[in-house]
Amino acid sequence: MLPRPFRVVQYRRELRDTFTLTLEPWDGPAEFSFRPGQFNMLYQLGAGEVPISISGDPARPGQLVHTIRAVGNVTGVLQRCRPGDVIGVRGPFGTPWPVAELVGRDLIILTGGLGLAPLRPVIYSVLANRPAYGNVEIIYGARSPQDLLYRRELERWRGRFDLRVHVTVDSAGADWHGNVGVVTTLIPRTRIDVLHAAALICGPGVMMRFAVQELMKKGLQPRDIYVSLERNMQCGLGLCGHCQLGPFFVCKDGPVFSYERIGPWFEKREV
Amino acid sequence: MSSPLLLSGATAILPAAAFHDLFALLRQEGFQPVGPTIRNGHLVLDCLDGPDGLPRGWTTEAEAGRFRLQHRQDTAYWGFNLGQESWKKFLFPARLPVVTAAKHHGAISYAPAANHVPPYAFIGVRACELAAIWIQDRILLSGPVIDPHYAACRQAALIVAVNCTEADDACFCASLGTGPAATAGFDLALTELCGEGGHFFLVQAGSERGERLLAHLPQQPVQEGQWQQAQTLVAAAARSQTRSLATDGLPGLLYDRTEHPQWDDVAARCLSCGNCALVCPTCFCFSMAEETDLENVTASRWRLWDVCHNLDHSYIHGGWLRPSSKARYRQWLTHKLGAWLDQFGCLGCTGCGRCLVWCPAAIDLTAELQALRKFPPKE
Amino acid sequence: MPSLEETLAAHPFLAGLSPHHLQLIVPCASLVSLPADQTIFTEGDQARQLYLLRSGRVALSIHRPRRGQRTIYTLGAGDVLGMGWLDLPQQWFFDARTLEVTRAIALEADCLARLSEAQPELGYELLQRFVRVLLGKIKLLKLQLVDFYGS
Repeated sequence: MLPRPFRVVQYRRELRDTFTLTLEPWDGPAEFSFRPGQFNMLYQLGAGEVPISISGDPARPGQLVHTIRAVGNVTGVLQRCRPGDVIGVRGPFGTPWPVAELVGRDLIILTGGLGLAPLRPVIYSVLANRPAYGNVEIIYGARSPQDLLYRRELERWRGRFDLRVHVTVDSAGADWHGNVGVVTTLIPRTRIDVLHAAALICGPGVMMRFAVQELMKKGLQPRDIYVSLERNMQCGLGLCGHCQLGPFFVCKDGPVFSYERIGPWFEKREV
Repeated sequence: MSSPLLLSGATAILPAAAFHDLFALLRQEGFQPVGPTIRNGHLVLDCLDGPDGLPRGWTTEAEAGRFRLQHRQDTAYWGFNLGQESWKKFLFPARLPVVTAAKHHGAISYAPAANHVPPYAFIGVRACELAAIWIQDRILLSGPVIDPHYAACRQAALIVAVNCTEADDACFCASLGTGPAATAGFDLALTELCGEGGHFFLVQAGSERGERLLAHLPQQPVQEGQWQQAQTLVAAAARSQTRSLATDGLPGLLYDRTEHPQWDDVAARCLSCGNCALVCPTCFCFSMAEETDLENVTASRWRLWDVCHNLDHSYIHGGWLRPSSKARYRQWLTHKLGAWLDQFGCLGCTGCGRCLVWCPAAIDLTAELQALRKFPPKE
Repeated sequence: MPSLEETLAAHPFLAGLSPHHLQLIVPCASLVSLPADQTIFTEGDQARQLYLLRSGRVALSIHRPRRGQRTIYTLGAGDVLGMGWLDLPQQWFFDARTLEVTRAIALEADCLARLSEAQPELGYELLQRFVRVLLGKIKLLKLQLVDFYGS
C-alpha cells in the first residue's frame, strides 16, 4: 500500500515535546474519511514511517490532524515539519471507538498524557450529537499543569453545562487550583448509571490497567469498557507481525478493543 | 494438505537419464529452474543449469543442533532432505524493496518498487515445503491484503515436488500429516527409485500444466512393482520418524500456560539468536527499513525479515514489551503452535524440523510442547 | 436540617458504624465551613483534628524554599483529611489549604483517643477505617511515582 502525499498546512506546538500537524491532501480526493480511534502511518522520506492516531474532527474530513510526541527518529524529523512541507500518509487503519453503538449510554472518557489525542475525535463526535448520549464525563490526567494537552479546548469543554470535565495532575504549583492525584481517584466522582454506561480509555498501559480495576469496582462490566492499545506497528495491515498480542494483530483487530475481548491478554505480562 | 500416502493419477516412469530432458523442457518453456545445490560446502537453494547441479550422491544428517552433509553409497539425486533455506527465499525474500519515494520541486511521489520476478521452476519441493507454501498462501494471498511480490512469484512458479523416501532425525511431518509424500499443490511430483532395478523417477502430474509437461517427456508405463516400491519407500520414511507433534488442545493449552515454569527452563537455554524463525518456512514477520541517497532526495523502503526473538521486535517508544528472552521464545512458540490457528486456521508448523536443527542450543519445539503439556509440579 | 449524628452517619468514613458508636462520637464533632484559599493547617503545627470533608476541595502541599508550594494531593467530598495526630510527635506533615469553599466535620483527636481507650470496640472500628484510608492513599501515591502518563 502506497503512501499518499499530504501537505502540512499548520504546525502547532502543544507541549515541550508534543506538536500537532494539520495536513491536506496534495493530490487526489480532497477528503480523508476516518472514524474516531483509527490511525495513520506517517512517512517522512529518509526517516521512515510511524503510526500516529488521528486526533482531528471526523466531521471535517478535509483536514487531517495528528498530534505527535517527538520520542524517536521519525517523530523527531516530523517535529521539524513546517507549512508547505509534504509528507506521506497511509491509512486509515484499525478499529474505531464504538461511538455510534454507544448512543443512549452514559460515557466516561478516561485518558492520560497523550492518550487524549486518539479520544479527541470521540469527544468531537459526541458533542456534535450531544442529545443522543446520557451523562458524559471526561477524566484527564497529566504529570503537571504544564503537560496538559489541548488545554484551551479542555477549558472550553469544561465550561459547557452538558459535559463534566475532571482534570488532575501528579503535582502542581500553588497557582494550580485543580485536582492533584492520579486519574483513578476521579472515577468514583463520576455521575453515571453503571448499568447503562460505557468507558473509553486511552493512555499508558499502567494507567489503563488501574483505570479498568477502578471502573469494575464502580460496577462497569468488561464488555462496557473499551481500551486503545499501542504496539510496534510497521505495516498497518496485519502482516509484519510486530503488533501481535496473543491471537490479535493490534493494527487491524485493534487498536480499540472491548475489555471483554482483550482483558485476558491485557492482564498477562510481557506477551 | 498432504498425507503420507501416494496419490494415484497420471503417473509414468521417467528414466533417470531423462531428468536432463525435464530441465531442457522447463528452460524451453521459459522457466528458471531453482533447487538444492551445494555452494561452498553448504546445501542451499539456487539457480540450476541442469540435474548436474543437484547434490547427487549426498545425504543429510539433521538432528537437534546438528547438521552434516555426507556422501552416499549410491548415486541418488534426492538422497538428502532439507537444508536451512526454504522456498520462502524466492517467494518472500529476506530483503525486498517495496516502495520508492522521490522529491521533485517540493512535491514527493511514491511508487511501488520494481521487482523483476522470473518464472521459477522450483525443483525438489518436499511435502513439508508444499505445506509451508500452502500456509504462506493463506497469509499472503488469502487475507484482506495481498503481497504483490508473493502473488506474482507464486503465480509464475512451477513446482516439481519430490517425495521423501528417507527421513532425517529431525523430521516430524508424518505426525502433522504434511508428508513425507506430496498430495497436492504441485505440477509434477517425483519419487526416486534408485537400486538394483535401475534408476527411475515415478512421476505424477498434479496439474494440467504438469500433465502437458509430462506428455513431452520420454516416459515409460509404470509397472506394478515400481509402484509398490515407491509406496514402500515413502511409508518407511514416515514410519522411521521418531519425533512427533501432538496438536490436541491447541491453541488453548498454550494460552492458558503463559506462566508455565517450562518457559523459564527453555529461556535458560535459548540464546535469542532467532535462527529458528529465520529457517522456518512459514515465519513471515518483517520490518521496514529506509534507504536514501546522500542528498535525501530519493528513498527506497525495504522489507526485511524480522524475528520475534529480536529485542526490537516489540519496541515501542520508551521500551520493549518483551524484554526477556523467555517472553520472546514464548511469543514464538505460542504464535507458531497457538495464535496461528486463530489467525489463519492452521498451524504455523509443517514438521520440517529446521528450527531444531539450526538451533545452536538444540532446543526442540516438539520436546518443549511436550513439557508444556505436563502440569507444573505442585509445590 | 439533619442532626449532627445524621451528618456523621452520612459521611463515607463513618458509614456503617453502629448508632451507639455514632452517639459516642457526636460530642467530639463539630461542623466547620471554610472559605476558599484558607490555610487549614501548616506543616509542623500541632495536629489535633481530623476532618471529614463534606464538600469543596483541599490541597495538600509541601513548601520548598525558593520554589514555593508544590501540591501533591487534593481531597474532596467524602475524603478524610489530617491523620498526623495518629502518631508522635502529633504534628502535621503537610500544608493544607482550601481551594474552594469547603464544609467538613471536625473531630477532636484527643476526644477520639479517649473514646477509643474507653471503648476498645469503637477504637478497633475506627482504626480499621484509618488503615483502609491510609492504604488507599499509599496505593495512589505509588501510582503517582510510576510516571503514570509518561509513555
